[in-house]
Amino acid sequence: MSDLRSEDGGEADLAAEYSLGVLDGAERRAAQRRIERDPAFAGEVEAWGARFAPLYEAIEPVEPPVGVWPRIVEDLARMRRVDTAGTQPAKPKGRRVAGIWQWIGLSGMGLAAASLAALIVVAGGLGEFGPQSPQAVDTILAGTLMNDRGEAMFTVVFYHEQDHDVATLIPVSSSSDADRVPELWVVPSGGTPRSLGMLHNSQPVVLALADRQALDPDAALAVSMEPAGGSPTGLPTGPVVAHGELRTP
Amino acid sequence: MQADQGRLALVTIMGRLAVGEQDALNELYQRTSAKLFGVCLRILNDREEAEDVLQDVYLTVWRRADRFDSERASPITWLATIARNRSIDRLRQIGRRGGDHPVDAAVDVADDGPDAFQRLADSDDGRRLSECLGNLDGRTKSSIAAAFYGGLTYEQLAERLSVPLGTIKSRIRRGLIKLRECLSQ
Repeated sequence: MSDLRSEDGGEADLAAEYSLGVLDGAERRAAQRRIERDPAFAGEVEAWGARFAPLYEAIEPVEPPVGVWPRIVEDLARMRRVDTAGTQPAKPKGRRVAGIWQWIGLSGMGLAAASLAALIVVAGGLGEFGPQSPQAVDTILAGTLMNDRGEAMFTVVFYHEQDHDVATLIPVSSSSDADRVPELWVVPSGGTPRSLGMLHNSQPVVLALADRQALDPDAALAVSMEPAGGSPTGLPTGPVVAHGELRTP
Repeated sequence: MQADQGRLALVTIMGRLAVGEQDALNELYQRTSAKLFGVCLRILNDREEAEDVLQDVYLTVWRRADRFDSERASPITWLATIARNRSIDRLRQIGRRGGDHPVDAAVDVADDGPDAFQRLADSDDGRRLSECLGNLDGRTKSSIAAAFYGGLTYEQLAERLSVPLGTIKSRIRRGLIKLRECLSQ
């Protein structure tokens, strides 16, 4: 997959070249973006990392100056202040729910490479929605929304179409709440959840997104169960049935 | 085994970090900062830059601890890889700015010759890698060493080793293919 024919020595293994560190700035950044969106490539980079791992044994430890740790502590405190400030606007009502939202927004669930690989296949199958040109592939994002037991509830594919973003949500297993409907939220890192629209328990739903911010690299997605027509308050009111992280190109 | 105990302790610390325990970062720093500073210093060859990158590395580790998977990676390799990658990113930035820290001074290729690999015999993986590197010709081996320990681009390597760019690319690419084949046996 990462092998390219090249006149400079047969096949170039981009994952190996990235791991070794021979790529120039632009090539390196392109490889890093690819790691974020291409699980197979990320796996190859990881494998090369493991191959080169013993090379670190030959690097002598050097005590860093005492000033470094206090600076890390300062930065951490600053990060936490920003996080706390960002989550304040959430309504204090229902503290438990707020806690869950804060947790989703801050921690971001690490996506298993296997589930992402499966999603790429799903994306490839969405011919009628999916991007046709190689450039547009860059705008594809995929994610899995899981419940607290780690079971996949929805798969999500984001892509860019002409002048707006589109999200396709495919229910993997349906939740059994007949009176409520699932609503999709984007949770910016440390911010307040914003509704992206209503979903369906058993059918794929395609949402047109006016809000480009849905693609914030640190954003998490979550689904809560809401009354028919959506949350009356504009913020999630019902239980969170699924959540997951977005992967940026 | 001391190494196994050290690894287990780090895996435990990483687990605590993943759930946001800040004390765990301090413990991780005490156990690993000398190694990671060594890595940053080796790549950057500049104490101030290495300190800045080290600071950034631990903040990155704090944010990304939930991505660490002890089934797939050893904690020290995971950490050292972040330290090295951040250092190389920094090196590329400095290179683009192109002034006060000439890249030529960042590494002395002579120091990273084949001998650099002879100290890998501490672990089984190290012995295997050492053997496979041993199967490469000397120039290929030292080019790979210079790239790994110096974080040099193809272009910089070509310049420093005074060989055409195409030559260094094909040399390293062939070396990497051989290395992968040898390690998969």
